[in-house]
Order: sequence, then structure tokens, then C-alpha cells
Amino acid sequence: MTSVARVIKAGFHTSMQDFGRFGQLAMGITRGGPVDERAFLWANRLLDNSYNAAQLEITMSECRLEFSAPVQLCVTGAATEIRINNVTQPSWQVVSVGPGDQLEIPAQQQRLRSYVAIRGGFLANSCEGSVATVRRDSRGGLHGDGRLIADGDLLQAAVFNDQLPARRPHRELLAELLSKPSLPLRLGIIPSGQFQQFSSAAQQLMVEQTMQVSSAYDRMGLRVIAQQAIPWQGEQLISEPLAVGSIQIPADGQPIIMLNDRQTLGGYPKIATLSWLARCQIAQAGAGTPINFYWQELAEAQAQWRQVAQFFHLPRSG
Amino acid sequence: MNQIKLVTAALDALMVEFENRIDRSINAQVHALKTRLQSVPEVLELVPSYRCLLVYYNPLKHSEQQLKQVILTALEQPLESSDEAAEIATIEVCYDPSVALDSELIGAQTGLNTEQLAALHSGLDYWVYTLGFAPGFAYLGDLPQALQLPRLATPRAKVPALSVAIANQQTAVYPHSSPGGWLIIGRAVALPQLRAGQRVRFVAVSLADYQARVERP
Repeated sequence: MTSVARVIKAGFHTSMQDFGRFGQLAMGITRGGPVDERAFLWANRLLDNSYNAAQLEITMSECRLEFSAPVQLCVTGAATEIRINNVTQPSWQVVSVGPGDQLEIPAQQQRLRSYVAIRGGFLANSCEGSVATVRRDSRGGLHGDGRLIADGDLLQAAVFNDQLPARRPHRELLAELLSKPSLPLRLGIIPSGQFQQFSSAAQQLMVEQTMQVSSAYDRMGLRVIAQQAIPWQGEQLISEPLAVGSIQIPADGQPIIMLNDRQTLGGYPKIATLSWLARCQIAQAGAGTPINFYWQELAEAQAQWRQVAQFFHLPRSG
Repeated sequence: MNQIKLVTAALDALMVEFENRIDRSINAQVHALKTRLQSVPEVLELVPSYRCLLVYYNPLKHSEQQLKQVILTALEQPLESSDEAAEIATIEVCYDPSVALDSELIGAQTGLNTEQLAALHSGLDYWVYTLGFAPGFAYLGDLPQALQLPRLATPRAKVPALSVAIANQQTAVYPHSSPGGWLIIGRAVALPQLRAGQRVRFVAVSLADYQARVERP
């Protein structure tokens, strides 16, 4: 393990993430991990890494690193291009850099989260088997205490003697991954939780209006603006376990989508859960993005995830 | 058993819902089912709460229908609903007003002095219903009727670590400093790792003892 890079400019919310901290929910410890799993898993795959290798998740703002060793890296997610020593290069491909080289991930206006992966993954001491940063739980990250990446931090990784080819996803797929999504975003949801206790009017309102991502979002969850509120006539719930991707309906009828750092228990009724692909799509949706939910069968959503899991060699889902 | 429902929670998780009440015997059944499912190979992770058990599985290997069958099989034998056998964790608490930040407020609302509050709060065993809110935060119940008070109207920005707090029928120890709206009735000397389905006994210690213990643990 050796220091391979120094953070010149961290940006306002950059965190170290592996695939997540699993098996601790009963202790009140949430998962963490990449919000856009697709972008994260692609970067690790292109670098021949384990699916779980730690990366940096950058949220919207510019981020700059300076390398002190020869490494191979890959940037995916929101950034469609990167700069190495001020020379623009495409993202989503394996790039080689050496001592003194600077990598810049430009600030993003439209999409939210970019990922910087390095061959072998960034290294840090793990808490409960994971380096995933969860600020609220004071866990993970470079120092193991949930701190975000800061200017001046030194990033550790293994150094390799051989070189990987400068590969990237095949052309059509890459074009799809880089293209601007067509709006409104179409997000598949499966009925879950208290779905049966919502009125059929409420179930229809979920899919028969175009909603908008509000400006209230972070790694715990995001609020959605629904012109027509989703009504809940049932009683108050006794707090119960909450899955990543589930959609809570609080008393004001404005849906809340739970993301990776969600609290382990929640007291609002849930009407649906996002499919895996829908979670990856919403991970990149900034304030004001119009969205249309559509109902999906559980079997269909599971079949989609099984393909993903096989492609990326995932042992389990989020 | 006929009151138990199985509901889709996510593409990889099923919720087992018991009777819709906060009740020790119902919660004990949740934990009994958790214990029973822990060794089942189809189950990845289990998350208990008051009246629910979330069961994660791997859709690469098993269908929801298969998991339902696994759970129904586990439910065939009656579940232990008694808490008598549960292990007891002991927590020493100082109820002195210098660390019990809301003792004045609690006193005013209950008409009880510090000694009476301490005797009442430490006078019975509690049950760990569930963990959540923050790592290691255990929801304990039930408080004696006289101590059942509403939360603060405005939550504190910072509750000191190891504060012992009450809210409605519940009590808890804050494992770390965090924001919180529960009323603070004391401060624990230390907090053992609690698990849901355990019993907890609070033991009152004097301020002098507390200070000696905290300075030289």
C-alpha cells in the first residue's frame, strides 16, 4: 500500500465508497455505497477490479487529483469528459497517468454523481468490513470516521507492474451511457410495503402524473414534488425496516425516495420500491428533473437485476 | 399465526408483518422468528423492528415464492412469545440534575424529585424492542406510566453521548452525541452493545460514583 495521489481540490461532497456495508442493519447501521451502482460497477469492471473496490463519488462540483505514482484509472457517471494535464479526454475508459499528472473532473450542471476508480481500488481501513463513507453513522472513508474527502488528503492504492489495455464499453453501449436521458425520466417501480392499503386512486396518481425532483436531496434520500398529492387514509405506522429504493409517502403526500444512506427504520407508509435501473437513473437526476413512474412486476424487476448481477459478478443486491 | 402477513418490500426482500401493536409478546415473536431464520441458507440478512421482520434474500438463487415457503415453514412451530429467558444487560446511570439535562422539566411535569425519578426509571426491567435511528441506538420499553411524557417541542441540536432519555412509553441511551428530541433523565457510565430481544436493567449510581467511574473506567 502506497500513497498514489493527493487531493488538490476535493469539491463540496466527495466521499470514498465501496459497494456498501452489509449485514449490520439490525444494529442500526445503514449500507452506504454508490448511489449510481451502474456507473460504479462499470468503472470497476473496466479496470478488472472486484465489484467492491473502493472509488471516489463526486457530487456535481469540480474535483482535482495529482498523482505521485503510475496508475490506471477510470472515470464514469455524470462526467462525460475529463481533463488530464488540461487535455480533454473522454470518460468511461481506462486511462494511464504517472507522477506529476493532474486529473480534473469538471463541475457538472445536469447530472449529479461521477466516480473515480483506480486499478485495485483505493485502500483504507474498513469498519465492519467496508470503507463506504456514511457521515451520519461516523463510519468509513479515509479515516474510518465518516469524514468526506478533503483538500490535501493522500489516497492509497496498490501499484501494478503490468498495464491494462485502454478499454471502454462497446460503442453503442457507450453512446447510450453518455447520452442525455430523454425526459421525463421513466422510472420502473414495484408495488411494495403498504401498497395494498393505499386507495386505487392513490396507486394511479403515482403513475398518472409527471412529478419533479425537488432540491431536497442527499445520500439519504430525495423528495419528489407531486402536483397531486398521494393520499394515505390509513393509520400511523409503527416504525419498520426500510429498504433502499423504497418510496415513503408522508402526511403531505409528497413522495420521498430512500437512497443508500437511509435510516434503517422508518415510520411513513411505503407505496413502492424503485427497480435497480430506476435507482441508477434517479442517482443522476438533479432538482427540477421531470419523472414518470410506471408500475413494474416484481418478476420483471428481478429478471433485470439478475442480468446485471451476472454481468458485474455481484454476489447480492443492495 | 393467522395474523402474520408476508409482503414484498423490495426486489430482494420480504417483510413479515405481525399484529399491528407495540407489545412485548409480539416483539418477542419477531425476535424468535429472527433466531429461527438466522441459520437458514436462503436468508441473507434479517432486520427486526417492533412488529416486523425484514428478510433479505438473493434473487439470483431464490424466488420470492421460495422465500415465502421458507418463512411459512419456520412459522409452523409456535414462536416463543415470552421474554423470561432473555439475557439481562446492566447499565449504570447517574440521575443527578447536573447530567440529567431535563430533570427540572421532568420533575415539573411529573411532580417527582430526583430520587423518585431515579427509583421509578431504574425500578423495572426493560425490553430491547429494536435498534435504529443511529448505530447502536436501542429502543427500550415500556416506561412506567408516570414517566410517559412527550418529546421536546424543539429537538436539541446536540444530546451528549451516553445521555439516558425518555419519550412516550420508551427509553434509550444515546450511544454517541447527536441531535435528539427525547427528554434527558440521566447519564450512563457506559453502554454495552445491546441487541434486540434482550432485557436491560438500569442501576442508579451517585454523582460521586459516576465521576469516579468516568474518570477511571
